[in-house]
Amino acid sequence: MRYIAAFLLALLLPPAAQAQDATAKPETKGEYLARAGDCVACHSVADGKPFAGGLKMGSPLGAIYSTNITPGKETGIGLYSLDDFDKALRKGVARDGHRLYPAMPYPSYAKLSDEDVKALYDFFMKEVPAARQANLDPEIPKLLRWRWPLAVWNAMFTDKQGFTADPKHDAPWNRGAYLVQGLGHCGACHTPRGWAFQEKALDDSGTAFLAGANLDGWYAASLRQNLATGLGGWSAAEITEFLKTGHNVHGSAYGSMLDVVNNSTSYLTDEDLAAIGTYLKSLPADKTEPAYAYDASTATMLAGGHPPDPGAALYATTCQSCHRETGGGSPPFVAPLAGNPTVLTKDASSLINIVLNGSQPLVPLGVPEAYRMPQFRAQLTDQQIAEVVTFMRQAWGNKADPVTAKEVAELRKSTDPSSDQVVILRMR
Amino acid sequence: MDGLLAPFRSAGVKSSRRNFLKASLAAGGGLLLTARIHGIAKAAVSGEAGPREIALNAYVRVAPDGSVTVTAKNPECGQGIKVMLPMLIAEELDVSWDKVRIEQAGYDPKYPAQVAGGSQATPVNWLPMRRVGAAGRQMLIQAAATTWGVQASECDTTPGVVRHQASGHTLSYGELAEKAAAVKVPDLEKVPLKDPKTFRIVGQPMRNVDGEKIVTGQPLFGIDVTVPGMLYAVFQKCDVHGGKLVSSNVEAIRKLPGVKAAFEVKGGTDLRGLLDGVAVVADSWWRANRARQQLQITWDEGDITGQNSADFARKAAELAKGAPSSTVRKNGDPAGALAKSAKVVEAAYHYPFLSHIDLEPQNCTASFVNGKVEIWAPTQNPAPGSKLVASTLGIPESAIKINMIRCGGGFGRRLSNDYMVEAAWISKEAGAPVKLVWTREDDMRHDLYRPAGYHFFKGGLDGAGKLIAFTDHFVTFSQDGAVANSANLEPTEFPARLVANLELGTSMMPLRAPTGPLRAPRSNGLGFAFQSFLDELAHASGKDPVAFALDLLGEPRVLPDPPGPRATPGFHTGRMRGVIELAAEKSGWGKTKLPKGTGMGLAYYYSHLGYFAEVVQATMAANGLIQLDKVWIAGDIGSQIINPLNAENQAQGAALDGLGTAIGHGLTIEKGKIVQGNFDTVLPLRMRQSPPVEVHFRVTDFPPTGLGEPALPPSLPALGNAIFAATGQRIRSLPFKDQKLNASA
Amino acid sequence: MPYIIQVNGKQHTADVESETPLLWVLRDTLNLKGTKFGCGAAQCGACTVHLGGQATRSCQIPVSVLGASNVTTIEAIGETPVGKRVQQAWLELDVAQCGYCQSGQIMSATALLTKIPNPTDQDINQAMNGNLCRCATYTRIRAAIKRAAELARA
Repeated sequence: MRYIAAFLLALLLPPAAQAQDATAKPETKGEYLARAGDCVACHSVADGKPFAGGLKMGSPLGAIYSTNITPGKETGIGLYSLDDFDKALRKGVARDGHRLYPAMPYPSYAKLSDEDVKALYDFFMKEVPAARQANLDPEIPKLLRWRWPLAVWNAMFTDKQGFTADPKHDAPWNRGAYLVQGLGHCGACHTPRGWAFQEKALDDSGTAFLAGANLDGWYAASLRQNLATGLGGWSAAEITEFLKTGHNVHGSAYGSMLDVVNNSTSYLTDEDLAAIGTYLKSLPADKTEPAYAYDASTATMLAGGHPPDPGAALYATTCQSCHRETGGGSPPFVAPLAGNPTVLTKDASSLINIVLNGSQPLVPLGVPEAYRMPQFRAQLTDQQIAEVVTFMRQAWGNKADPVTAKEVAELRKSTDPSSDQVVILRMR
Repeated sequence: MDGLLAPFRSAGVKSSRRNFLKASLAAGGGLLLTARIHGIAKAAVSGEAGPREIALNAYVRVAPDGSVTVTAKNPECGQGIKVMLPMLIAEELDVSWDKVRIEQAGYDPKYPAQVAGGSQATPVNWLPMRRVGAAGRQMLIQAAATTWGVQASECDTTPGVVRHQASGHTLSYGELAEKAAAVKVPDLEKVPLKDPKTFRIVGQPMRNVDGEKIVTGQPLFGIDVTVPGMLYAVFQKCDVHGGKLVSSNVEAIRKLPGVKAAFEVKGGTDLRGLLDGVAVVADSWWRANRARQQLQITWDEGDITGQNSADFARKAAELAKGAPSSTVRKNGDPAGALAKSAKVVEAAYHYPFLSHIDLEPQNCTASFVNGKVEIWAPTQNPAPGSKLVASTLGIPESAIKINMIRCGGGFGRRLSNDYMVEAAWISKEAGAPVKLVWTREDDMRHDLYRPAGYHFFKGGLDGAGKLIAFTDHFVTFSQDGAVANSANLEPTEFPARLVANLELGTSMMPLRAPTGPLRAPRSNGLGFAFQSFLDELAHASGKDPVAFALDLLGEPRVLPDPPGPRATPGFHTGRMRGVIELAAEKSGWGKTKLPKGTGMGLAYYYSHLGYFAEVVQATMAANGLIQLDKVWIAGDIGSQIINPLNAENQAQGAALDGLGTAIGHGLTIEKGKIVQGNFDTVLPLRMRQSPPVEVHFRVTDFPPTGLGEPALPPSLPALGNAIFAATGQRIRSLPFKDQKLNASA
Repeated sequence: MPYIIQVNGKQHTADVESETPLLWVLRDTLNLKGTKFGCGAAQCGACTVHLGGQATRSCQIPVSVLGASNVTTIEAIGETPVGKRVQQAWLELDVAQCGYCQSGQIMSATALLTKIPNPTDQDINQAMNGNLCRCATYTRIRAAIKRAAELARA
């Protein structure tokens, strides 16, 4: 949903007294909730003031820009009452009555409790510094800018109920459900969208909920209990570790999940992360598939030095040094490819994207990761990337479809290379 | 050499110049020779000298067992100088090469020209180093003659031995050393030199003296230096060059694991000196760098308006519509001649900023104790480093000792000593010896870049295909109001002096990023643009490019340079013809039948006193990649290839360096910062791209000159010209990878 | 925490963070300077070592994943017959210019010749492509690999 417009800049931060706060633990409930909602990821840009907006985001109609949500009276939300704030947050209607584009995940935020809305309101009004920065017009053709259809859209696709605890489950499960469906708005990326770009399910009552989806050239993997392509092979503790640090024994965060870990989940309490793990572990698989089983013959072949095809040969020269002949990588630092859901999933977009563009640094709690995926956009042709990705998808017991040069070519055109610069978005 | 000394005589300096060879007993016994030409050294310092100030100094130690230690005075960065200069001394001293031990000098002001740059070591040292050896030989002969009571003229030498011809008496150098040390030092300029026909060492293939250490992984490079009590340092600067530090979270960094010191540094404005930044010092490099990654710094980046590659390209195209802001050269009536031309060819060429990308990242070890600093630096140019450290730390140069450590590549990067002053400063502040090591990203983003360039050419051909008009509007860069380092165009740029109506002009755009010399500075970019455009003109003329080049060069003759400090002996059309003909012959130019999709390209270029022509054969493979089939190099660097084993290696490396640069190097600037940071975006040549390279030298009667640089420039345009021959596609912008032309097998 | 690792047939202890790359353990903890730092991103090959016989970029191997695998570095590669021949061929052909990349080149070449005693040009391209030589001594590297193969046949 979010793409970073250009090469991001180094750390541009205010004077030293505040500099350390950039990665400090949340001080108030409102700030903690803003972390959980990852508001900063969309409402700030790397070299901008916190929450002053300006992030370019793709939409089916054209690019739009996130808005200034600092308490500035002229350009921000300084004039918002709690009720105005609530309408924007939970119903997608701005103070002046215009409807927000659903890039703002208000269908998810509709699940928020009144108490949490109030805490967030207090944070944005009292703790975030006001920034004078005018909002940018959407780059949507004039004719398509009418916002009244959004009212219809809202009527059809948003949930008016809010979150109700399910008495069949315990408190941690319900806390996890609240965070995942609500503030965490996980479904914004992980739930497939329907004909009108609506999430096909907003909670666990629908099997499409968090079943994996493609957005902007990235495939956000299924978070359901699918054995090979979902989280079926991950324990709740491993899910927690992933959210806390950005990686675990099964894989590493990439794409917009980097922003989620960097700005949101790494700041959450262990209890909340465990609750999320508990909840996700309860989502049944939406299709049956055999569990991944490791096949050692690929490693033997690679170790022997006689790769039988161009894909294997490219792997040996280009990837093997880090991801190893075993495909096991060096988790949690270097992701494994053997049995990794991102490698196994039907839609290979994310895997292709990572090979093309590399990965931006993970920065959980302000500490950049020690290892980073380089980019191969300039080093390998579409055909070569297709070959090497196909190899990975069929090696070590991985069973996924081949990838074509055409798929790579399309992603090459529509994506940008990752920056290696560390980006920390400030909340204060 | 005599020619080079002439200006001193005419300036009346001769009377004050004393050439002498100082002899004394070396500490461990044996003879220590120190040769020097005082007058020239003095002239250089006082600024009285004419072109090419040359001073000389060398150490020769002869042990009683006859083994000889020869000091290599120049910095070694892979060009093979550590072997070559001692070869010259050993040759004239007349010792067996296997009796020679080579010792690397440290930086010492008594040694002149301790610099690795400009392919100058050969022309500058060819005679002086031989004279050092020859003078030593004379002293050994004199010592023997005195012992035997005969005339020195009755004696001669065989390697390591003085012989009295009539009696057959012999004495070894080892036996004579002590006595020879007391002999009056002969006049260096009068000392007889060997007839090159009798050379036993010069002209022989001699191996790298550090080869054994290299293949067994012994500590050898700057990055390998360890001194007692040493800590490890990293230094974070602003990625907009010269940006000022406003504030940082350095206090928080001090608490991180292993960190021994972390502090802000307030530097100056010299982009080659100490700049603002934050230093982190820890008990291991990894910990220092991990701590540094958590720095949060506020910078004042200054004005970065227009400091974007895209803006430069746009502005260059705008400037090209007008007249150049300054004229470098004008002959005849270029506009009139273009108007009258039967055919006019116009083309715009571009090449990008480049980083040197030495494989060993910049590093330096320094130990500051009680007002004195000892430095272990992989530097190509220690003298300015010493001055920089002295002025920045406020200590006299006499308090600075610089050990010159083998460089893991230089290519001009280590002519600047920014890393040296950083290490010295950090050691002083941290109160401990430190080894500063830059990351690859530091190295790429804090370089002194080969400037990008934009050329807007016009060429006019008459009805017979003769080039009658040539113009270039070169849009280049300025820094602080003056032309940026290595961004200039000279009035001798080929084909100047050969086209009746010619104009070379420049316009400039201000640049924040610092620039500097990179292997074959200026020529590495100009060669691509001019030689590619000349190939376009050759094809437009309907002539074969070899024939077109030979026509353009005309009869063998010297085209003199305009007088000035940069004047060379001039451009010899005959020497250039010679290498073009040799390259054509060896490559089978015009004779080999090439398959469809395969082509040969020729380019030729004169730089650093060397004449090189190169032919590249390339194929457009079915997968859309360029395949480099083969390269033929023909060079003329004078009468003597001093070390043919290394000469071949250097020439091959230079041509392949050029090809790699053409295909995969290129930096872009965005908001004043270099975007690329590592070898996933800047792509040096790799094994599977690398073609066979044949090297041929044409031996001529001219004094020997260097080759590390002049062999590079022709390979880039030769590849572009080959691609045109193969496909009809003309590449006018580097790197080729950005034109969707990558190279792989 | 202390990690017990096997390097060149000997057991060493390195008290470092789990993420620390093998490269920096070799260079700074064990003082084995032959393995070089060039890019820190597995893009240049200067840090190539053998890990369980495979040529591996040590800058991308966290010390915590080594376990009992044996690491061989340039300092000990001459103790293997193939490594010794590769070093000899490198000296015979005077391959190096600056020499900085050559320890990594030799490690990759030795791994290649151990697997494929008589490599084709294609095998050489494949095995050596991860090792950059900024001086571009590729012509001689290729020739030296073939010479080392020839020495084995002799």
